[in-house]
Amino acid sequence: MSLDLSIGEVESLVFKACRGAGMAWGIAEDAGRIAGFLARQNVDGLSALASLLTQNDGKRFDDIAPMTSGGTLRARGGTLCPVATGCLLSDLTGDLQTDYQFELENVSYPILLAGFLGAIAERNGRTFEATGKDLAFHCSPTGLYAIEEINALPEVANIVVKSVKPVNCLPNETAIRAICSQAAFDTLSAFAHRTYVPATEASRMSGAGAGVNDND
Amino acid sequence: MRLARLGAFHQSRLSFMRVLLRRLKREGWQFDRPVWEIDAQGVGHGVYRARGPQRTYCLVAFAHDLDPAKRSDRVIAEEWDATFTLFDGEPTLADIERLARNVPKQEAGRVSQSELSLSRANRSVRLFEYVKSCLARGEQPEAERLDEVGYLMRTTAVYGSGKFGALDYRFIRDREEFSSPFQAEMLSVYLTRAFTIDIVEHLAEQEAPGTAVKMSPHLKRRLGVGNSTGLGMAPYLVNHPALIHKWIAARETALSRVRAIKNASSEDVAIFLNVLRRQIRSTDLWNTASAAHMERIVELREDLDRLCTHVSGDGVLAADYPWEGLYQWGQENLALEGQELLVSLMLEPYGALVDDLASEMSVDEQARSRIDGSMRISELRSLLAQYYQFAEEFRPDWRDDNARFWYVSEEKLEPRLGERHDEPGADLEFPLAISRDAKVLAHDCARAEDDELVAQFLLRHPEHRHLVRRVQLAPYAGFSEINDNLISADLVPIDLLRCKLSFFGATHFDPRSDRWVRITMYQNAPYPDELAEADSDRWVYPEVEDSY
Repeated sequence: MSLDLSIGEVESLVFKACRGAGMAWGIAEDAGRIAGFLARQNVDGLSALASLLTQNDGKRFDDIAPMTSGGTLRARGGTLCPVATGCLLSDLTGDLQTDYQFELENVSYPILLAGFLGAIAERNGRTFEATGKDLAFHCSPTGLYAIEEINALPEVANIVVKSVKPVNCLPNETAIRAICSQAAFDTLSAFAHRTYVPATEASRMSGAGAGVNDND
Repeated sequence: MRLARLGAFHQSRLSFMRVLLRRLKREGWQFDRPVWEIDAQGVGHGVYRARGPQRTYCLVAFAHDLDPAKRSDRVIAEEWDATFTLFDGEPTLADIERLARNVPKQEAGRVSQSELSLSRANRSVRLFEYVKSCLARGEQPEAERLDEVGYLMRTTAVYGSGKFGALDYRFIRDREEFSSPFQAEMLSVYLTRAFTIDIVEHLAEQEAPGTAVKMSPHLKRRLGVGNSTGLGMAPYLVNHPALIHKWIAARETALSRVRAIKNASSEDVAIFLNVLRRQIRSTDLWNTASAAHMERIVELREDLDRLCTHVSGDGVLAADYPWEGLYQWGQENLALEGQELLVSLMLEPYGALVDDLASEMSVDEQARSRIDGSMRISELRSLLAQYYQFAEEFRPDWRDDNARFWYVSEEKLEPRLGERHDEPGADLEFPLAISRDAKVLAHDCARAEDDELVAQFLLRHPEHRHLVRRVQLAPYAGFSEINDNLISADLVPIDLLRCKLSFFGATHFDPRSDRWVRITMYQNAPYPDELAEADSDRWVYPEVEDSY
């Protein structure tokens, strides 16, 4: 069974789920935006996010975030979080003139990285190519390409990302809704639920200013 | 801008309700009610159609027979007297059937990409039955009783963009009629107001067929739609910094244009004096049970008297740069409420000069959401010093500076404000403590190398990422931050609501506690069927008999 969600609902759900899974607020903000971006590209980022959060549940940020020493980005704990990695790449690619090349080791759920690269491409008017074993896609200002392959990307991959000359492609048809599997929705909702504070008698009375008759 | 000032804002020409009605009139929108299938008990549905030059929208209203014991304005209610959705186009029978299964459930239902809003309203216990029984007897209700309450029904939430399955605003932003913010929601409330009159007249007619009368147009005008708003709205101003900047910047730009006028024509002065008198009438009708707020209203009445006396003095408005002079006088002689109301009144004669700003109050919030990781820490420090001076006031060790925390309640899924030192849950605090977080960021920046890249810094300090994004936005959005501590023991949460509601165009703020407020929307506005003939511009100010 699948659900039809607005893009705003996707962004909000992912934002809260990522926070519930322990990400910093600012990283969760980026994750929400990227989930919305992928949905608009007709790409299912929500299943990958649900799997990623489950896989990394309880892990320390330092263990899954990219270490910047040396030429290759890798994680101390083995696999790179695509959200933390995507945030770093997004932060570093503001300059329109520079050509970029990043080597990434053991990136989990590269489909999520594709979301970050696609958003950067759209923003900067650049085209990025990502290649690795069993994996090749490119992200241009008009969308993500090799979509079929994108929906079947491996769960972990070594990837080389580099800026390339624009590729002539027709703009992708973008979606205004997201289709989310019930399973992914339930997993993300469970993570989001961790951000909520249970009510107490005191908070019921004071939290929203209850105790005054409102029925008049 | 400080929160106390934001919390003293009043509606103005740039408020979204007024922007909408000006457009509806200018473009000659047509209104009718093609469907009214409501039975003798007041149960059924009606459709209100608004046809513009390019597109049609329909408010689908569901009327219910609510057990009075279940009538509550709190967002936690599960049943209402009436529920609504604004449909994008004209609904088919199948659409209506789908909506009938979902809209009455509100948050527990789903709407679709064909819907632009979801809302509900309850009858005013103080007024609805009274008006119905008057009309059923063939009599008109007393004007004073109507003025006391100001509305027949109160909305308790009006959900828009993307909420509960509705279409996201980003997909309708490029429609001319939605170029200003919240226009779909404002249209929905405007049509809801017509429903509140129709339903009370319908029920009166059912009670006394042949005897019942319709409400007279001049009495109807006095009624708006009520609204009860709580903390759910409060984080909005903080969570949408680029947008809030646009709203305040538009208002400030309008003010600066008027202050720069060298000579006020006699027509402009007459308009100003007219709305001032009408505003005095409106302020006389503004009452609240909140003692603290009533003090402000009483002070405002005195300030308006003082303003009247001042402007009737020789040559005050005949001098060069009269509005600049009046503005300066206001800063020196009026309290915050009066100062901000004066700003709204000064804009009134100058629609041709300021109304264009309404189309600049919307923003693509994602456009500047990227963090510039190539910035050096030295520059980030400069931005903090320049734009976050208010955070220097935050004292981490002072209990009162750190007294509260914002969170989302598991039970209601709504934002709430907790007492940090007395209640559990502070570990799940939402990031609204901008003062505190900016202070901590400044502290960590001070210990970083000058030439460290922000991208590297954020790998070491991911907890600062949300704030760095705000700091980097600040140079482009000078009004993006509320320059106050939002977790202070002194915080007045309804100031956050009042600011947003004033931009909507709400009047008669009636705080029911420090955390929720009742307001009136569209009071004195022409109804859809009157719009073509009526004043669509300064309707918000009630008519006074001796106005000149």
